[in-house]
Amino acid sequence: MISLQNVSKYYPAGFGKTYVLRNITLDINEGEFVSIMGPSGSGKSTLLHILGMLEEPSEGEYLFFDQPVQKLSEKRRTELHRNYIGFVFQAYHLIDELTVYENIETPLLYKGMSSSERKSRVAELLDRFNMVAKKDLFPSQLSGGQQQLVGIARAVASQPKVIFADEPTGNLHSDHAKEIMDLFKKLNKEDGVTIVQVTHSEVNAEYGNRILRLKDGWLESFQVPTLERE
Amino acid sequence: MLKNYFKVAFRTLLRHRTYSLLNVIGLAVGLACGILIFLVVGFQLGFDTYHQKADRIYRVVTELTYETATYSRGTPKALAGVLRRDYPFIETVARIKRLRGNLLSIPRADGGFLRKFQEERTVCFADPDLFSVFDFQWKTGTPKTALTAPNSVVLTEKYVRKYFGDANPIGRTLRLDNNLNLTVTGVLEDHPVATNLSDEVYISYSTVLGLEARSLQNWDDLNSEEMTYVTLPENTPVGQLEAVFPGIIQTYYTPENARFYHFHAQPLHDIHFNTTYGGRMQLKLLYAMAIVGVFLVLAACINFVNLATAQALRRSKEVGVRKALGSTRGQLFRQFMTETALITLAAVALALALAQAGLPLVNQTMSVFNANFSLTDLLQPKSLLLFLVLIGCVIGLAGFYPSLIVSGFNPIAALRRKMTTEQVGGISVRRGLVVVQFFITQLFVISVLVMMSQLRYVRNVDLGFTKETVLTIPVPTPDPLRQETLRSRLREIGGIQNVAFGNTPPASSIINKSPFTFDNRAEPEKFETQTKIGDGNYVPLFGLKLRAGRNFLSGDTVAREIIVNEMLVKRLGLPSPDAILGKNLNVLGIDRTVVGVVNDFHVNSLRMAVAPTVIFKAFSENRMAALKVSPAHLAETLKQVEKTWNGLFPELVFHYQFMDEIMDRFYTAETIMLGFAQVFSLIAILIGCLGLYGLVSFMAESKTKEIGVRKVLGANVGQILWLFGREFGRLVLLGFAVAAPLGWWLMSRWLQDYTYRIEIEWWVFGATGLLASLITLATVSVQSAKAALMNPVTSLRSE
Ligand SMILES: Nc1ncnc2c1ncn2[C@@H]1O[C@H](COP(=O)(O)OP(=O)(O)OP(=O)(O)O)[C@@H](O)[C@H]1O
Ligand SMILES: [Mg+2]
Repeated sequence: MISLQNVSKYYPAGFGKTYVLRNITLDINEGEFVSIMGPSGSGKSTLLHILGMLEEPSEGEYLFFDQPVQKLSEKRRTELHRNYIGFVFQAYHLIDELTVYENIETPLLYKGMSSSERKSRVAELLDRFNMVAKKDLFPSQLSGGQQQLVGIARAVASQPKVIFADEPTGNLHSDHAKEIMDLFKKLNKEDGVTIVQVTHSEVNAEYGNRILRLKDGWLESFQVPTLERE
Repeated sequence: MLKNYFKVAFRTLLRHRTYSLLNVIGLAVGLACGILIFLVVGFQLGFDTYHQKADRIYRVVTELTYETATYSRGTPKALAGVLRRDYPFIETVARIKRLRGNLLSIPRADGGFLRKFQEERTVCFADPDLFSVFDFQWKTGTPKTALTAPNSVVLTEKYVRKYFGDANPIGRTLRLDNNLNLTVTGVLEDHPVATNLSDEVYISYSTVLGLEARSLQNWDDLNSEEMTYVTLPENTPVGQLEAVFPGIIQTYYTPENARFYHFHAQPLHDIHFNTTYGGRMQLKLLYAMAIVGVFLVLAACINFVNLATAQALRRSKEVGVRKALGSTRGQLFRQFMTETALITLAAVALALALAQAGLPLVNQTMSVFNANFSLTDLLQPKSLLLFLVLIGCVIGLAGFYPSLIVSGFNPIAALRRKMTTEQVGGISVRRGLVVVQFFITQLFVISVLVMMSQLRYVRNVDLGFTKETVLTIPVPTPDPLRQETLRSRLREIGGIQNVAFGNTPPASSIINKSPFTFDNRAEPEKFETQTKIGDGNYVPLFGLKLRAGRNFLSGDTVAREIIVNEMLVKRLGLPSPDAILGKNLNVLGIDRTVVGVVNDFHVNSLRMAVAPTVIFKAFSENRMAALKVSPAHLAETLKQVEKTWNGLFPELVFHYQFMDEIMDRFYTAETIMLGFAQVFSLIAILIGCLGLYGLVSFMAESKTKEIGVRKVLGANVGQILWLFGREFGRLVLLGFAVAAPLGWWLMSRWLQDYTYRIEIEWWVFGATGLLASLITLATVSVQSAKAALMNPVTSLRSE
């Protein structure tokens, strides 16, 4: 479903360029649950953004459901965002002027869902994330962890085929983190949603069926997590 | 979806309350000024355009080319008859003779009067044909029947109410100047306001025939209030009319005079604007106002674009998120456009309210034109279209640029808040816009300063005569005995120090000119002299200084003495004032002896240069008495003067004028213009401040982190203020660099109209620069002090 061929990303620096990602070749199949790990600054977020079509690779080819992403029109890409992709940002990125309820509702609006459908879907998510009491609050009135939950709820809302989550549990208490991981697991198992997450926690990483390690922009190894490693 | 947009829009506006408010107010104020100026300019341009035949109506005017040319909007009465009889291609010829300062009374059966009215410029004699040249609506009567017979009169509805109240006026009698009975034969609907046909009382022209039979065939009798209008058939070139004038002049003037006389056909649309022929509004001034209006609206729009862009850039995060969630570029574009449209409409609503509030003031300032503006004037299709286009442009300008930029953001770049303004070129565009504003503001300030100095100069300049505590009252009788009675009664009043009789004060809107012969030469001189009638008290009362000779002797009852000014001596080429004393000077056909020479004095506004002038006695020509009063108990003195005057002339209406007022009237246009310029420059400054405030707070915000870090690293408040100060100092300077030379050029051009004018001095520019800097400093320091004083931790945490 996802296939990167020799993808690199660099930024101009002085007379030369700094590589953030180098020569990444990578396949992710539908229904997988992939964890990306690596030290800070190794390019994890950048990779995720490229996968989420929020940024363009500098070199290489990206196929999404066998379609070359570079050649997609902006319109088609927007459509993919609406119907296929859910994105959880490392910095939450909620819309400050919208309430919790409205933030979760926004992707459904873009998807063109009917009002009643939207209502029940948002209600269900609020319920699932234990945010019913907070639905009319604005992001600034929430703690970091709560904001992260809203971000995840928003990514899940449109029932995407694939969820890209950038440190979704970075700010969460471990109990909370576990809940989220269980949710991802459930989405992955029961609804067949493909999940790609970035995490610093080995524990969370092992919810996935595969761990990718990035170092200085290089993809280090494919590893199938095993219980023995712990 | 729209609801979602509106919610965000509304909450953003609310969150940045100050911003939004500044934004809306700035635009509203600018637009309100625009609307008002539009109304005024539109009103002026619309003068007399409503007549059906407007494009083929002409006024015949006269140009006299002596040594210098003299222009008159009048034509000899005899011209109309010739045009009518000998040139059938002319469709209609109509004469009008406007009266100045007349008394209309409603007589009672016993010979007394019911009420009396002093009419300044509202009474005229008119040919019946005048009503087929111009559009008049008749309530009662027709032009054919109503104004054919002598001594018949037609009134506008307004004047019917004034004279007769609600009673039926037809058949009633009006008495003109206590000696001519007129019968009301018709009623006209009131004029539209925008017309130079200001007359309200139309007396049949045939009445003049009886009154002035002699002057009817006198081709040299030229009066600026006796005008001839014609209409040409459609598609007749005006050249055809112009071509008949030389022939007429050859036929009816002596060969000697024929050289001087020229007639011209002045198109109707030129009449209101051509000051040479007494037009009341300079087109130049209107254009200046229109430009001012455009500048103000532009400044407000610039502001709006500035603030809107700043606002939009601040929302880059929202844009990034929305894109990631599946918003198309178009949707984002529409979202931001909708928002701008909303704000703009709010501003437009506010602007209309502000304009409505400002209307009474504008109406008052334009009261010389009987203006009565209302916002409904905007509802005419043309105005409405223009207004809508303007609103469209504002929305387009203010909405398009930010929306385009914002919707084009790369989502991740937007999210990283890497949308530092440099990257999108936002800051340089907005800097440019602020420079434009500084430029506009400083240009206004320079103009106001120059206008104020010139007007002050004009008011205080040595006119060559005294105008303080001098007032004039009418002398309504040519009878020397009655004049003497008036004089002696006035002298008895305590507060009056001196009384002089004459036709006009030294400076007056009425200027009499006449050819003259000097020293018994065979030919009259090549130039004319202005003539003033004054008695023996005239020179001392007005403080005219004798340079040579003496004042009139009180015993000179035959009035053969004459006093001249220095300019006349100079123009005659005499070596000194003494050289003219005792010489003969023939003016108006009478030989007179020069007994004195007085200093030069201004006979009109400072736009006119000092010209040769003579003063002599002529009892029958005395029209006014000038009273030198002591400033103490002025009201009491005035009351007594009125009582005395009314006692002598019970059938007339008393009125008085201070010399100061007379002088001020020369500068009505300037005073109005200065008033407008002052108000508008204040507004321009205000709008400029709003824009600055917006830019500074935006900068402060994007520099929050920098400021926080600098503070942690030990920068003091002063150093941080300098961070902003430097930036804006540059912008002020840049604006100044453009405004100063342009302002100098424009104002120099304006000053060209004045023969006596100030030099534009450097302090004007110094003051302008200083003012701009101060205003900027004040605006900038408020905002940047806030940023500088802020607790560094708060600013750092927000990242
Ligand atoms: N616009 C940019 N211009 C230049 N360099 C950039 C830009 N964006 C990111 N980088 C660089 O790319 C590198 C990788 O950044 P990235 O955010 O992908 O790291 P990360 O692995 O997600 O780190 P973390 O674990 O801290 O989130 C960093 O060294 C960063 O400085
Ligand atoms: Mg990261």
